[in-house]
Amino acid sequence: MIEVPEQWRQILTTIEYVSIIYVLAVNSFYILLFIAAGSQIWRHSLLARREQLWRALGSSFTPTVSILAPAHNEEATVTESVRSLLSLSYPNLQVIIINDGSTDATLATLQAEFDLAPVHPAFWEQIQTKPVGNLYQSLAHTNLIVIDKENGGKADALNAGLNVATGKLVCAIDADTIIEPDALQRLVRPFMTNSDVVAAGGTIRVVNESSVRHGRVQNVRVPRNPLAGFQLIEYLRAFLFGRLGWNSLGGNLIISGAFGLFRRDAVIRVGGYSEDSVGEDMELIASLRRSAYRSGRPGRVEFIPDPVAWTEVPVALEILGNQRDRWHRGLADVLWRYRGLMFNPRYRSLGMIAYPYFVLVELISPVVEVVGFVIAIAGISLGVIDAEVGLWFLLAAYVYGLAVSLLAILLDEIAYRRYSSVKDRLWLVVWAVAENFGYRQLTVYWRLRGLVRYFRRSKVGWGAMKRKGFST
Amino acid sequence: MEVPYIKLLVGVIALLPGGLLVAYLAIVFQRALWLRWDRGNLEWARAAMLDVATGEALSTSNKRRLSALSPSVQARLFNEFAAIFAGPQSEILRVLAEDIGLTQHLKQRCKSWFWWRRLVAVRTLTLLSTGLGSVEPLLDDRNSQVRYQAIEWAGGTGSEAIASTLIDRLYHGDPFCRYALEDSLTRMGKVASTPLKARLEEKHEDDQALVAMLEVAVRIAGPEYEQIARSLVSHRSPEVRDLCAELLARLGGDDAANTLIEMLDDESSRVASSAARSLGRLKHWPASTRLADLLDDPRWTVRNEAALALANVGAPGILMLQQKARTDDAGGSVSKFALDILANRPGVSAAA
Repeated sequence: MIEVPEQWRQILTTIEYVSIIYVLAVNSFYILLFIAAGSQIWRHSLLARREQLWRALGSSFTPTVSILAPAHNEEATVTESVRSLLSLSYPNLQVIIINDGSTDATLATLQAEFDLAPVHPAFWEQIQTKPVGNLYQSLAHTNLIVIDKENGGKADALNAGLNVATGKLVCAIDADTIIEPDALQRLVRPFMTNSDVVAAGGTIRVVNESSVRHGRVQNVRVPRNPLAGFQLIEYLRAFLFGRLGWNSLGGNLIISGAFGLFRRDAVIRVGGYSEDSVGEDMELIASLRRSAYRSGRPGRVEFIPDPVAWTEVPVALEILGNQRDRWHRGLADVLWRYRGLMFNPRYRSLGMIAYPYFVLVELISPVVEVVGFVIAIAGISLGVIDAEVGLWFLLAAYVYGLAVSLLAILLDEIAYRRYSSVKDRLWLVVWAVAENFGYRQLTVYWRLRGLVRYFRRSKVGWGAMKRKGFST
Repeated sequence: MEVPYIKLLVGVIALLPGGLLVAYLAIVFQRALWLRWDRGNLEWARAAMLDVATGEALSTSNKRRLSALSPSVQARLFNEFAAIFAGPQSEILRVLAEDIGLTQHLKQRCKSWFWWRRLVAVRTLTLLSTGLGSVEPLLDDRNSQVRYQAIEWAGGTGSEAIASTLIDRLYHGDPFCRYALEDSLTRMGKVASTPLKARLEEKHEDDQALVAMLEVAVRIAGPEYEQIARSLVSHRSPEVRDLCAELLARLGGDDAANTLIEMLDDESSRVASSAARSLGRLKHWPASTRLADLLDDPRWTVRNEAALALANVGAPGILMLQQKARTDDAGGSVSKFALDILANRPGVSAAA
């Protein structure tokens, strides 16, 4: 055994204690989030009992919704997605597909499937975007508009959609997202009951291996592919546990870019989506909330668990890694831009709870995990840390992580019961246990890589997402 | 930290996922068994209800079996059926609900201490279009969701006294229930018209209360509101003037059209656009020249609405649009857009 100087021994022991305190603090906050999420789910499931959603269908007060779906090389899934959007049960609906300079047959597919006729592109360019080439209107579905524009990225595409949209509310989705037929009716509720709501988000679920027919998810299955299965657990944890809990603890800072509803005037007022940010969805929410605090205008952001949208998650390691890397770069970027919120009492719960959480937990957790692991190995090798204590502590951390996943599955089972077969429910448990062996470590690596790339200011674009298309 | 303490900590923490796993599996299997047990009961009850709703009499034994089901299963069944049946079938369901004691049970539930019980009770009573005498107190419920649902229920009652209560609530502002209040009053239609007119004729300090009431008046659109709309076209709030333009468009007539033409000069782009849109909706072709002037308005929304209104007006408007579309200025651009939109309308043969 190498003799370690007392000073180093002290440093290593201090780091060990700091790591233990960090893990305990984070996990205690998770318990708080769980309590908040549990009470929210309980309330939502009581509110949803015998709810008569169809009333909104016949009401002339139901606000018009413009759905904005940017599409970049989405020829495999765009037809099913647009069909799904057109079949939504919502009375005043406008569907806007923004073809963001696709190099594949996305536009040709849309033209062939939906009988598009050109319309002179006249609109109020309230937010500047890359040039719009053509505007099309479907002759078969007159509420379907297709914008054909130069490639400018997702945020630019959404901004072009905001310029053309006429709805009071805009729903931003990914072109490969399948929205459940009644999801919009559910998502619009907070806007109808609270005049101060500017944004609302729904739950995203994993569609891989479930069958999709005529733009609707029919046979819901838990994927047997491990990568898709692990992501399913992550999505359950993030939406049912995280975002729902944040409704009570200071409000959400993220509404998923794959399915969110916004007041169009509020989004335009803050200048739309930021084109130079990789985390444009989070940036928009931060901007809306900060602007609300500053101006005294409405700025409430709600997460509603029962409107569901389905998305295909990547099952190739490289693509998944790039996605996570991009998400973390986006997080770092937004947190840096809005650094003035940190512990700023002017922004109340946003500045005092939500923002610090995202910095201290979401942003730096991969660093703490890696540093903690390296120190533990070094400490054990040098005899500073007791090997048995180290192993037990590691075990405790994993067991706790598993508990959080199981809680999310349990909340889902109590409130929503999306998976009907017992076999599928058991697969959920299998993926919750198995994700701790390899997958979690990989996500830590990807997030750390994202952070490093952010600090080195590496330029990476949308990132290619090769889609298989939905199984029918 | 000592090893035994860590072991104890891990042990305590490990109990959590262990307990959760057991709870999860118990729920999964209990649900699977319950579903199997419940399916038979529900299938029988659905078949019986379907027979009743289609006019067949329910035998005494079947009625007894239906009464024996738990109130929550009964409520679930009536919710399923009441949502899809209308007219005489709804009446049959309502009578059946009375007969098996469900209505009485729900009325009792309206007094429950738990808000979710009151909520489900009002929801079912709303579907069954019954509950007079029990639901009215819930219009003032301390829980906003229950209040919201009671207001929805009120929309189906056709009582002028309840309409007056709702208008008072709208006037004094209940931000959570504004949508439900407006929707219910609109569904009440003529019943709500007289008390609404009386309220609109009062002097208003609060613009938002006036806006909320005008929104309902626009949907009811009775001729009794014409005088009120014309008296409010010079109101200080653009939102009020905008709604007046919409109301005048729904009422129609030469006087309304002339007022709308005057409103095209409003300083607010919102009001001028609304007036243009309203004239297009009225297909008031004598306004074509004034609308064509607005194609050069510096405000985009006004230009765009003027172009779309001209496309709606008919031949004179389309001619003016075609003339303007030959230019390359901003007015030409919106004219081309309006002509393309017109050409894409079903049943229109390439008007442009």
